[in-house]
Amino acid sequence: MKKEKFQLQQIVKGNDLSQDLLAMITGGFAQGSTEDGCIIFTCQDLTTCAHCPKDTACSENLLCPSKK
Amino acid sequence: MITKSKYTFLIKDKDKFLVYNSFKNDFWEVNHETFEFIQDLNISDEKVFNDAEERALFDKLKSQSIVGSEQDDETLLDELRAKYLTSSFSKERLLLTIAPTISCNLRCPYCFEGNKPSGIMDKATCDKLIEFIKYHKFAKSLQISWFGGEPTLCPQQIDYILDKILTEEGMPKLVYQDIVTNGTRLTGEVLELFEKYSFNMIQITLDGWRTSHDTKRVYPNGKGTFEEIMENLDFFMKKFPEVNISIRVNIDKVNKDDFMKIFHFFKENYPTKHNLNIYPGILKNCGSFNGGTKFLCNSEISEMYTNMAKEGIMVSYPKHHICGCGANHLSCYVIGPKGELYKCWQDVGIKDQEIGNIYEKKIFNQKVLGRYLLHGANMTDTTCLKCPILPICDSNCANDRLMNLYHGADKELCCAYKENDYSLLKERLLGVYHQIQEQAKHTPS
Repeated sequence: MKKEKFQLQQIVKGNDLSQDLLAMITGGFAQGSTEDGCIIFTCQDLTTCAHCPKDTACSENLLCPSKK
Repeated sequence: MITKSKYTFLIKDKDKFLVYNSFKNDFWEVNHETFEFIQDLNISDEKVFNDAEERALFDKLKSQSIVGSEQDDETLLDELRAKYLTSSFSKERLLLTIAPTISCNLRCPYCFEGNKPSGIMDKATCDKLIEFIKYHKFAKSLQISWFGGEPTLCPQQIDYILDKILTEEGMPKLVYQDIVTNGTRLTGEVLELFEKYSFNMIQITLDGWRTSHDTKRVYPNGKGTFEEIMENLDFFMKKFPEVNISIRVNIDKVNKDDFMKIFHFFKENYPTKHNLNIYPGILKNCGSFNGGTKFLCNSEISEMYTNMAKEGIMVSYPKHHICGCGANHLSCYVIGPKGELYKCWQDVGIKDQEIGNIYEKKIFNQKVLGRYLLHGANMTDTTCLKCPILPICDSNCANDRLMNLYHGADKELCCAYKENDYSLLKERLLGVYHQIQEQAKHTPS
C-alpha cells in the first residue's frame, strides 16, 4: 500500500465551542457545566488566589484522580 | 495571507512532530512533511495548490482551524467572546458564595481577611438572604459555596438557610454546594450538617507538611493545627465517603517541596479513595496581608509543575476556560455576614467594594459592578484578546485585573503556560503525548 506523503492523526479531540454556544443559548448542557446544566466557574489550579472556593469545584484539577 | 493560525503550536521532540490548537483544544501527531507544510505555509490565495495531496491536506488543516487567515482567527475570537458574553449575562444560574462570618478561629499570617470586621450572620439577615434568592425570578438553579472567615463557626446559620432553600416555595433548585474550611472544626454540629444535607465537596487547606503548616495555620495562642486537621480528615473521609474531598496545599517559595510529600502520603494511606483530590494552591499576593509569605513567580510555578511531571504525577491536558471567574458574571454574588453584596470574595469587608445589600434589593455601587462585568475578564482585555492561549488561559482573576487597571497594582495576569515562550504548555502536551503512547502499549489491539 502506498504510504501517504502527508500524515495527520488526531490524538486528543477538544471541545466544539460552537456546539457549546448553541447549548448555552438553548438551555442545554455547556462545556464546563454539570449534569444539571449549572456552569461551575473555575479560577483553576495554576495561578488562582489562595482560598478560592471555586478553583476545585470542577474536578478538573491537575491531580484529579478521576483523570488517572 | 494564510498561515499557521495564531492558536496553533508546533512541537518537535526528537523524531516526533506534534500540533496543538488552543482554540479547538485539539492535539495531533503528524509526520515531518505535514509539520513543515504547516510551519512554512504563507500563501495569499487558496487556489495555489495544484498537487492533490497538498490540496487535501490544506483543506483538512483549514477545516480544523490549524491554518487560516488573520480574519479567520478574528472569527474564532468572536466565537469565544460570544460564548463568554452568553455565559456572563445569563440569569438562569444563581451562584452565591456565602460568608456567614468573616471571623476565623485561626490566625494565618497571610490571610487576605486581615483585620476586616468580624461578626456572624443574624437570623434577620438569613431571612433576607432567602428573600434575596427568591427575588431572582429567572434563576432556575442555585449553586452555593460556603466560605468565610471560617464557615464552620456558623453551623446553625448554614442549617437555617439550607432548610429554607430546600423547603420553601419559589426557590431555584440547589444543584451544587461546597464548603471551604480549615478543617479544625469537623465535629459535632458541623458533622450533623453533612448528615442532613448533601454537599458535593469539602475543601480543606494545608500549608505544607507538619513543620511548615504549624508555623502558619495556627490558633491565636500559636498552637499548630496539622495533627488535628489530619485526624479530622481521616474521620470525615470514613464517615462521609461520598463527599468529594479537595485538599489544597498552599505553596510558596519556602514549602514548595512539601507538596510531593503530602501527595504521596495521601496516595499511600488512602489508595482506594478516588474522590480525593490533592492539588497545589499557588499563593498569590492578595494585598497588604501577606504576612511575610514568599510568593512564587510564574517561572518557579512552571518549574514546579515540570518537576511534578518528572516524578510521575500525571499532568493533565489543557482545558478550555472560556467562562472566566464568577466575579465577571451578572448572577454571581458574594454575600457577607451583614448581607453585603460583593462580586469577589477578596472584597468582603471592604466598604468601597460593596455593590449593594440584600436588605435594599438594589445595586448602589454601579462603578464596581460595571468594572467587574465589563473590564474584569480576559475576554474584555485588549492585550489578552491577542493572546494565542486565550482559550485555555487559566489565570483570569478579575480582582487582580481591576487592581492593575484602577489601583496602580502590578499583579501577574498571565498564566504560567505563557512563561518562557510557552514552555510549560509544550512540556505538558508532551507529557500527555507520552502518557497516551504508554497507555496504547498496554491496550490490547
